[in-house]
Amino acid sequence: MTYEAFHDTTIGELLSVQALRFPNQTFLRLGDERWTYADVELQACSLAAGLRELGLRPGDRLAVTLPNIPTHVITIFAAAKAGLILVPINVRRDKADVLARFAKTKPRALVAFSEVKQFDGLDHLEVAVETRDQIPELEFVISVSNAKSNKKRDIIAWESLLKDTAALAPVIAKPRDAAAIIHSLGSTGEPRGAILTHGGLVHNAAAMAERMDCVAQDIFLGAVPFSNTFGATAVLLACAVAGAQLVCLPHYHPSEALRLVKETGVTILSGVPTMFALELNHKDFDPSACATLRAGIMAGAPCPPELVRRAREEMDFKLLIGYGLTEASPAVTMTQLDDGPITATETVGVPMDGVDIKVIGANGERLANGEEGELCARGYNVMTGYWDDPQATAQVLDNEGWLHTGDLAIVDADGPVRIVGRKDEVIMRGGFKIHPGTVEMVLRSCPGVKDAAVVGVPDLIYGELTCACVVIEAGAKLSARDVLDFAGSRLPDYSRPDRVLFFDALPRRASVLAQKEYLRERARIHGHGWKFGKNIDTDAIIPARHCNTADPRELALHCMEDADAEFVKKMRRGDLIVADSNFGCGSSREVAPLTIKAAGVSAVVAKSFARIFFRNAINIGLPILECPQAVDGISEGDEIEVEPAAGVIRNLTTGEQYQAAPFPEFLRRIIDVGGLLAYAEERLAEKNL
Amino acid sequence: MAHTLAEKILAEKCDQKELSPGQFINARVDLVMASELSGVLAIEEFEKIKGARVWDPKKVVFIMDHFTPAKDIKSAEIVKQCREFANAHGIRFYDVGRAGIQHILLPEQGMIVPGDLIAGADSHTCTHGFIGAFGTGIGSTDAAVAMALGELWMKVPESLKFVYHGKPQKWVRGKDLILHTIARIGVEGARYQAMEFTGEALQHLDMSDRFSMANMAIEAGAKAGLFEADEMTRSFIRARGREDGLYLQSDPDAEYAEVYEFDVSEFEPFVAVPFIPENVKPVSQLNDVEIDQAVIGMCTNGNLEDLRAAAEILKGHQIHPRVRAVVIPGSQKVYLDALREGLIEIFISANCSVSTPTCGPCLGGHMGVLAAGEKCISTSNRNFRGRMGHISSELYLANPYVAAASAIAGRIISPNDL
Repeated sequence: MTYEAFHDTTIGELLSVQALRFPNQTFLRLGDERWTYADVELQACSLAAGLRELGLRPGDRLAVTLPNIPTHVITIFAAAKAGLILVPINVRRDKADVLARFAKTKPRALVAFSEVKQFDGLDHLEVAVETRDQIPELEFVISVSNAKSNKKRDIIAWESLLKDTAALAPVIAKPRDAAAIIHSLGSTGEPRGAILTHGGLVHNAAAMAERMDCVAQDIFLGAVPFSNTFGATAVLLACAVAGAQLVCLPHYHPSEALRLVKETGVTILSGVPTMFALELNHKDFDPSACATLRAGIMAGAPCPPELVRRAREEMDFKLLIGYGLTEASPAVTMTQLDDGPITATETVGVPMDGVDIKVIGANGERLANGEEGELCARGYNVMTGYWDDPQATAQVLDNEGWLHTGDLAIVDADGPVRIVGRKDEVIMRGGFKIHPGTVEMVLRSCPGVKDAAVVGVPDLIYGELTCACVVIEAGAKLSARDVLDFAGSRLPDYSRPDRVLFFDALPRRASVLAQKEYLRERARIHGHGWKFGKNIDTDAIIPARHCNTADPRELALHCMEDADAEFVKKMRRGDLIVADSNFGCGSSREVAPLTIKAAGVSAVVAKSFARIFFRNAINIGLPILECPQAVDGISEGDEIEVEPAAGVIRNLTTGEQYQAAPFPEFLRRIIDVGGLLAYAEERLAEKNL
Repeated sequence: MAHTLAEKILAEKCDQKELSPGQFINARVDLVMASELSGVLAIEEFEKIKGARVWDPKKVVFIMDHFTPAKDIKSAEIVKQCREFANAHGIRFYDVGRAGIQHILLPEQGMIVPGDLIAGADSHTCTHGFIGAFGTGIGSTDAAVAMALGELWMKVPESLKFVYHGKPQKWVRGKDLILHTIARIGVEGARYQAMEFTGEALQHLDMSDRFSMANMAIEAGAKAGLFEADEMTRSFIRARGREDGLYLQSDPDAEYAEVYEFDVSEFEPFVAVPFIPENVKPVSQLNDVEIDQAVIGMCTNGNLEDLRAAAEILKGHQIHPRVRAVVIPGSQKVYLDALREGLIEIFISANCSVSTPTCGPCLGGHMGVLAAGEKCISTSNRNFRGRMGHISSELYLANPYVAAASAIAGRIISPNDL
């Protein structure tokens, strides 16, 4: 099956064509409600007219923060038909995320909804209204939910924008025009808006529909958020390309996904690895209920071969593995329906038609097949750049149009690509390169392991050691030895973890890199102990020297320096603080721990949880080991090794070992999830349930 | 099993039959308090918590007291941020003219009763142990989470018992008892422990004395400083319109990490000399210390009884020509009561400056900051290097009688020597 007609067109045109070809075919389903292709076309044209009537002009940005509901789909097509550039925002983003995404893209209008209960208590309309106050360019807030207070807050009802299409002078977008700005995270977690074209998105969707042999009789499950490229392209647009049906799932839950598969006869099921893992492990999972499944794509994160195998076997369908990134609309490579078992589960397949790839070495030279290097992609699907960020664009897009993915890959001699890790995550252990992703996949397949992350920690002999951060399933009994034995039997000796740390949970952070950075801090175990023993009130001397300020932050920022000027300077990453005083009871209590953490200190060994400073260290996720004997037994500069989770402190200089007081479960959890604020979010979520 | 007052209050707050020292708990708080200084940071943290709402607006209070009335534009902006947040969330907000120093204001306004757990983003929140409430200082992150959840995590502290025997001599007040106690155990002597104050000597002292003692528990590193709520407490609480509260007592055989006994009848007024509150000397040994300033009031000694004590000394006198004296009532009510009693007239006639309630000079903020080399006697609670101003200035801590007498003499003296 090929869909050449859609290899060079626009999102608006795609819908118009399908509405002519399949006017009465169901396109969207939500519960018992259905929308035909003709319905969606009519409403999209009406909404486009309404948006134009508001005064929105081609090239203006329209932000959308909606769950997977039909109005979301209609809004996407309407934006295309009005020549607007879509800025989709995941409904799970919080206010700060939303603001960060709007600050650069400056949308003139926002379509949002208000479903406080289902989405973590965040009222998106409220955020929208507040956002409008901070982003002057945001003139119109449009709501798909009806609320009495809308008028008062100057919110436009989505329905009221459905205008007579006769009023709409056609906007002829071209396939090379920007259709959407979709955000990805840069290496430090900051959002970057990739500008994607109509042609790139639709062609990529067509290529995926072709890979899966999709036809009008197919039924897609719309579980992946339409606000990211995976959901928008591989699910929504690919479905439209095939003229097939799309069953909307507004709020993902594995049992709901399984129910819809069974009751609506879904044939195409796509998702991130976690979704498949949740579905397969769900108590309601019944292989026979998946009888209608035919094909689908697993993508969005490294796909563990075990999981792919299980899904293909237990759900009994042709699950393909996709590799891509937001900047490539997103698909770069994908496995194929007739791949053999190894290729189908352990590789990411071959490039999409029309997409070139190459693997380059450290100096940018092209590498031969079988050699490991950074994967680059070029083709119709690659973004034109990051919105208003030429510097970031230049970092990833070279003069010849190659997108540098940052992913390390090997192209096998017979064609398929293997992704081996992230360029910036490689652990260098005694001269060997270790890819955390490979080790993590093995660890996750260990019985009793719920989740795992692998980070490198500094070591005086090997340069770096491999540290496995492991979360055990409730009720499972697993020792570090068990985990090491399991990994040892499946990995080459140099890439076996050197150390296993158990966590109650892995940190909840926006980007994988930020999470890894956090875990590295937590896992750091080897450094020098520094005594911070001045018995002074660190906020007390501040006013004298900085009395021109009343800003607690400014006061506190000086506190460490004032308290012990040499102290901060000598700390290195991996070090720990040995505190035998009760310092810090003023403004410093907030910022001093942050200062210490920023300097790279990995733990505090204290005589007690004395005073406010110490609890604040825990509150920002810095472990404190309460152990008076260790405080007395460590001299300034001693080489120390600490296992925070186990509470073990070793003074390598003296050979003494100490055991800190045990941590209660909820304190460990505060540290593991990344601090008190993240813990509070968990508690709030529990309370709301 | 027998338990101390601290263990009993905390057990109530986490629905446990009993608690032992060292246990970690997530306790329900009865009140969350912040000043503008800690509040502004707490707001920032609060807004980072996804989906957070103030758990109970009636139980959260912001009191503007450190750099108020706004001493500069920045303070004004910080107060404004707190005001806007308070309005948006419907929490209690005390601004200039309606406020006072937070620790004086809370009991005065009937916001707390015995047995309450008070999480205050100010280290001197331990003050509220004077009515038998567990007050403890927290950071702004804790305050943010307490505002969202109404919970505070903590370790159950061990308790220390301080028994005061005898009848104090004239001029000896609660301030002298606590200064002597800190001198005895050191500034870390009660690190992360609850100090429990008891003994028949307390019958000769009043609630304001208990206030000063609990207030300075943090200066010995304590998590809380507690008095058992008794009949004196009950009439104090009733006078502030509250009938409720948990009047708990330690069991007679409860376990203490240490018990200290004192005979206060031998005490004379004490002075903490620079630069740490444990550096305590009897006032009689300090006759050659000339002072440039005296500050009377603020939180530690800012109650009406404290102002009466100062006025008793200052009545009919004028302060030394070289000395400046600043009197700072702890709240608007204290100020008004002092005015009605004629105390303010005594202060002004003695050439003292009378300030609106504020923490001001105590933390070197404003309203009486010291220049290089200056010496000051103060009724506040900390005398660290540079605390009230220039790094070379010196601060001496004392009770209001001694501070007033010293202001008159121009050097630190006992009221007996006036």
